[in-house]
Amino acid sequence: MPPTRTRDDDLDATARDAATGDRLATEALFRALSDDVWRYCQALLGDSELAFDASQETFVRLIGAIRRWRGDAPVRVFVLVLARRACAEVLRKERRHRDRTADRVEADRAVPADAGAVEVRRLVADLPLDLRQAFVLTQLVGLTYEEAAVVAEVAVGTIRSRVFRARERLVAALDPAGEGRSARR
Amino acid sequence: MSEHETVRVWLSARVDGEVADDSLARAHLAACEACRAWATSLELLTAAAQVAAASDVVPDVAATARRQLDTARPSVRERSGRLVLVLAGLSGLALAAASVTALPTDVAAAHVGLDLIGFKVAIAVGYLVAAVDPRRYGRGLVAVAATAALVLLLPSASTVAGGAADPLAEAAHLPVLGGLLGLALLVDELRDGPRRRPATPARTGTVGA
Repeated sequence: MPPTRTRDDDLDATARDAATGDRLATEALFRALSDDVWRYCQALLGDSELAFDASQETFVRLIGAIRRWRGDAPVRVFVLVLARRACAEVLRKERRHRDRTADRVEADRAVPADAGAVEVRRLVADLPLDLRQAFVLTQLVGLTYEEAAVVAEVAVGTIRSRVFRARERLVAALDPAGEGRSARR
Repeated sequence: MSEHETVRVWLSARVDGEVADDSLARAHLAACEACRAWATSLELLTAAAQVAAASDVVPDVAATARRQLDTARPSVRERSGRLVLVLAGLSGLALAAASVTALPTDVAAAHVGLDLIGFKVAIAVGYLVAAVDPRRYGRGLVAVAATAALVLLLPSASTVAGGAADPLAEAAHLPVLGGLLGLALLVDELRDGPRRRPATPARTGTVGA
């Protein structure tokens, strides 16, 4: 469910307490942002084990970085920027590791009960990275286009366009019979 | 960009509440069956994405960070609270020791005085123990310290009001009050209770995006 602005206000108040060294507030911030960070890292990396490492790294970095948050953007955006950097770092390490050891062990993946959710996840995972990032940030994490643009470091118009392109592909994949209704006529 | 595509870009942003209503786009939708069907598919997709997000199995991704917090330096407020408890405990013990030397020679009066000193020593030791681990030992001390402060201060207030106050005797109550202040500074830690070691997170059993 996309988060509300009220939730963001509450989170920002918690983040201000966390920035003063309040341990309980920091833990509350961890709890509130775990889902969003996990989804975003999953979307960027497409691998559960790497996403787990990147998400962990995000929260470890947050302990020191929260003092730098000035409230210019919601703390959720600030943390997702940290998550994007953590993903880049994890990916760099993974590439170096893969160069050294050719055979990497795949992470186990359980099968969830909801088949429809599985289908959407699979289709989202197949999107190109740019479209996947825009779709996940706005649809699964619930950021506004402006906030997603800050996280992805692109223009708001680019996010709008990428979300549309992602949806265009997903709609076509979910409804192959509707392909004749293509917009490019 | 075709008119269909322009309208669908608008529809996509409209679903997210990112654009205002557009009469031209509405007019196109009213006339274009294909775009209306696309709009319906878009709504279904949005609902499916929300179900997917809600049914996500999220592992404990903050466990490592929480462990780091456990070993991190305590906050300024927590350090202040613990320092106040230490000062209150030590000054309470020092004043209790001084009081022993000033006990009256009358046996009955000395006995009452010793009872009071024992009570203050117990409170002072409680403050020192709470300063070591406020989460574990502080909570139980709050009611004792608050009651002691009340019991000691009420007679003191009447003595001071009556103009018969002995400054040394009244100052001997300050450590009890100081400790209560220290506990008040540690209210978050007391509410938190003893720390539990977080469980090791599961690294598997999750779903790929």
